[in-house]
Amino acid sequence: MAWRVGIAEYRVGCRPEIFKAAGLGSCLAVSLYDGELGLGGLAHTLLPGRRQEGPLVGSAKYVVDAICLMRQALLDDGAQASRLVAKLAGGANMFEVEFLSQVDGIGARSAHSARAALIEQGIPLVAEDIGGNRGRTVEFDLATGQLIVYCARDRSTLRL
Amino acid sequence: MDMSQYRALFLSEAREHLDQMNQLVVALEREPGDTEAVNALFREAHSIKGMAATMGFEQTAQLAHQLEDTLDHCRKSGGLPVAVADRLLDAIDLLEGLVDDIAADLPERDISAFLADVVEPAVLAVAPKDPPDLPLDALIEIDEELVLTPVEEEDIEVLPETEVFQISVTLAPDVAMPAARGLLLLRELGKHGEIVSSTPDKDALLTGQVFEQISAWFRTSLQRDHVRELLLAFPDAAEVVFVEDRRSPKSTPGAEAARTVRVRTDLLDRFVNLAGELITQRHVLQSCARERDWTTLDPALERTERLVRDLHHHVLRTRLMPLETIAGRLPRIVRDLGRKTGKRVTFHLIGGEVGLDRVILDELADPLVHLVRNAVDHGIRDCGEVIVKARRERDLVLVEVSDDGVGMDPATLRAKAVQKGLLTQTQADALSEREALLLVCRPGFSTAAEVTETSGRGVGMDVVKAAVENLGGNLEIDSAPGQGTCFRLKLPLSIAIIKLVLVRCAGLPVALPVTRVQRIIEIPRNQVESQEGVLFFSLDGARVPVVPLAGLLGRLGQSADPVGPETCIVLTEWQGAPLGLQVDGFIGHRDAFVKNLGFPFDQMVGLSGATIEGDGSVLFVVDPQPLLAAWSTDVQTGTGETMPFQQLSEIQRDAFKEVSNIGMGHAATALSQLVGKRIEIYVPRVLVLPLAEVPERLGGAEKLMAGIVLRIEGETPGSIMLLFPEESACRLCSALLGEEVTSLETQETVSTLKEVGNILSSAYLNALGSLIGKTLLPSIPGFAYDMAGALVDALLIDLGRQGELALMVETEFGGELGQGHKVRGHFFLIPDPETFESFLQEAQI
Repeated sequence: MAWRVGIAEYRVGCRPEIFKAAGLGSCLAVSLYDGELGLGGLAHTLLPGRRQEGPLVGSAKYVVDAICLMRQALLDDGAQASRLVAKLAGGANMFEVEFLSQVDGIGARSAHSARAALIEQGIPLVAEDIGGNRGRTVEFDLATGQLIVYCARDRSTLRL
Repeated sequence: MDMSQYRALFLSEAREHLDQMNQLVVALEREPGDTEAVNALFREAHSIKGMAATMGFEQTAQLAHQLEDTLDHCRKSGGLPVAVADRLLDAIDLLEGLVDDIAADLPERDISAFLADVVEPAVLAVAPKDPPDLPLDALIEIDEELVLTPVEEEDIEVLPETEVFQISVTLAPDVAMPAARGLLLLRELGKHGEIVSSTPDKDALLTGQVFEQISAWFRTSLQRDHVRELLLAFPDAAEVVFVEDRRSPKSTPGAEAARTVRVRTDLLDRFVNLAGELITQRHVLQSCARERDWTTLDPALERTERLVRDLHHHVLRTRLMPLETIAGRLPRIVRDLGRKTGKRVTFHLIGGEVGLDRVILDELADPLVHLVRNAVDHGIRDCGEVIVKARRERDLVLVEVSDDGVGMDPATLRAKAVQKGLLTQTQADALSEREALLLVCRPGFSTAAEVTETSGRGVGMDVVKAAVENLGGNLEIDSAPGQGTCFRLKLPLSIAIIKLVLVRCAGLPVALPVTRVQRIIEIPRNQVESQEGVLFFSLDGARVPVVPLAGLLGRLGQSADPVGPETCIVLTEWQGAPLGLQVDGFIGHRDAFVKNLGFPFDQMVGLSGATIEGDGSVLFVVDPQPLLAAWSTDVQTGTGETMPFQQLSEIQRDAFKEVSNIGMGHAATALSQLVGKRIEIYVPRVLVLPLAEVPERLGGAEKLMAGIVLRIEGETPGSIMLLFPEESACRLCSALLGEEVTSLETQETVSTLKEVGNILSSAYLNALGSLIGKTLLPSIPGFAYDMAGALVDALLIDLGRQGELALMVETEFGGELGQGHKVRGHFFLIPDPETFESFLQEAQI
């Protein structure tokens, strides 16, 4: 049974939980994992960058905020910063380029933002499945640290 | 007996003695010839020495002893020389330090340096009067010089790893030569430890004095039972009694010092009386109930009520302690500070006998010291007076700390605040005199440069004000240049301490009164089940409804706490039946004084007060009962609409639905014309949801749908999305293209569906536009066939930038295209939040 992680949400937990972020279009899913303790988190982020004003609420809407909050939550739970690894999935461009110019390439921008934040936080990015124009559903298995990316349109599964 | 009790008593009494000593020395400095004060000092030191020795606190005893000697000398010479006063005060400080060590369960600090540094010649050697260690054999040898002298209990040293017992051995009544027996017994004992003293002593035994019992103070490392066995094994020992075993150098590890309070005995007598009378009343009530004697019941209940009130009143009185308790050290502080700063300051305490709640006194102790220090440091220029005055006023206690020094100038304070960037000039000018004076209480007002060593060290004026307010009181400042300063503290007479249960909910700590909490249960998350939209779990075989507390607080979906396999249910009661409040976790219990909140918080349903945590953060106390009342009404109306969206009222919602309906009607007509068949629309719904729930409302985040999205261009932008399940999309295309369509991936189907979207949106927006007098045009549509969640992402991006909620109008539509082929679709209008307001305005909703 998997815990659903909806848009702008993140969850942290420990093995043997499974977290699921479904219907990722331009949204970007970020997973963090401490393999030794089996502690990890999954965020379903919507926007690149960070919240511009106001206090940092417990929301994963912005990918940079989500990474920071998840990382802190994991450290609070006893994970070791040096052991954390990250994986990314999503960031697709669902519609053709001419449509929705404001959101053009938002998926790519989110991914870029995430990568920068991970470097800043010192978390190595060990796998990713980014871009394209297919929707994805990811399941993050805390028992193994594996990110299983399922693409409904293709009916394909990728294990990261 | 429990050592920790004695230790607590020692600590509180020692502190009292030291307090007294401080005051006495300071008084003596002013009047060195006051022999009565010197005597009093001597007695205090003597008491401390005795207590410390009894408890085995050697360093303390030694120091007290030296102090005693010095004072004895002063006593004899008729006064207190000035140099000695300083030395005495240092000694008192050191004693306080030793007492602190003892209180913290640490070994006593080393005072040998202090002891060695002798000022007056009259300091005697410091060793307590210890009986010389004697081998017992010597006794039997009848060595006249080696005599065991009976010693005072308090002078018995206790060494580590040993205990000292006071043993009493009764010899058998018919024993021959009891004296000799006695001596032999002592010798036997002596093999296993040290006999510090005995009665009858060796002398008496040697004279053949008749006795029945020997009592001895015996120091040994043996266990009590072992000693008992030893003694009982001795021939003719009829009975062995351990009189007291209170001596152990090891204090109970980790024992918390129990706090003691002094209560007047007449008050205690009153309690005994009241208890007695209540017991009588209980009997009366019981017999009334038994005999159904209702006539006697009423007056009996009245009497009981009076007794209970009386009892409560007296209980509260025990909590009252005189202000003196915390003001005792103030004279010393003023004196020290005066010396250090070279000022001559006198101190007066008026109304020291005024009683304050014990808890308030505890909290007030440090702030009071700070205010007095401030007065000396900053108030007085070179000489002056500091007065602490207390008086009762109805249900308040007023404590004033005033000085006759330089006073504070509101103008200067204003300027300083502006200079520090705490206020703008206009804000500063707008302050009244009183408000300007209170500026000193702003955090950051005093810079490090001004914080001298003597005042402002960790306790700033802002902390003082916060402490007073935390107690439910008020701080006022009265001052004028050249006219001194007066800090006025208004404090309530008593404080209500409420037991709270702390839980974590929606990422916040929330406090619930313990009276509302029956139990706290942690259960595996999957034991909370859902049936017909109602959550429940099983407890002791019964179904208990569950309501997420986050929902009651309007914070659903805001929990970012680590999600474990367990969830926490706070069991409370609702309308006579158990109900569970689901929270993220249980933090703990807290005893706190809860403040009532003022306007507008007192208008909020369910907020019963707040308390301030140790780190300064505010903890809100929530009463779930009124929240549940509001919740159940909501649940009953079952509108399906979950959250307010910028104060969207019912009327606005309905109007919005109506407007959308009109638009939708046109769209349906257009589609009908396109497919040549009747298309119907169903009742539209206005949904306000957190972003995370949007995909579910679209039919499921993972549901594969054909989606056409477009933006609304114009002055009231938003987005439109059309979703069709796969077969409907295929059928639609088939109908329009005139041929069987099975795949949604071809150019043709994509174009067709985009065109459908275009037509529908145009019709919709046309109608909408004319209603609000604006031109609304659809953008070029985008198409994708994928999971609904993936499709809606793009629409949520702009929404997400602006807030946490989505507002959408959803209309389902459908029809039959012949041969029983049904087509269904959903139309979503998602207005941008920032333009939604104007949209409503334009539509005059």
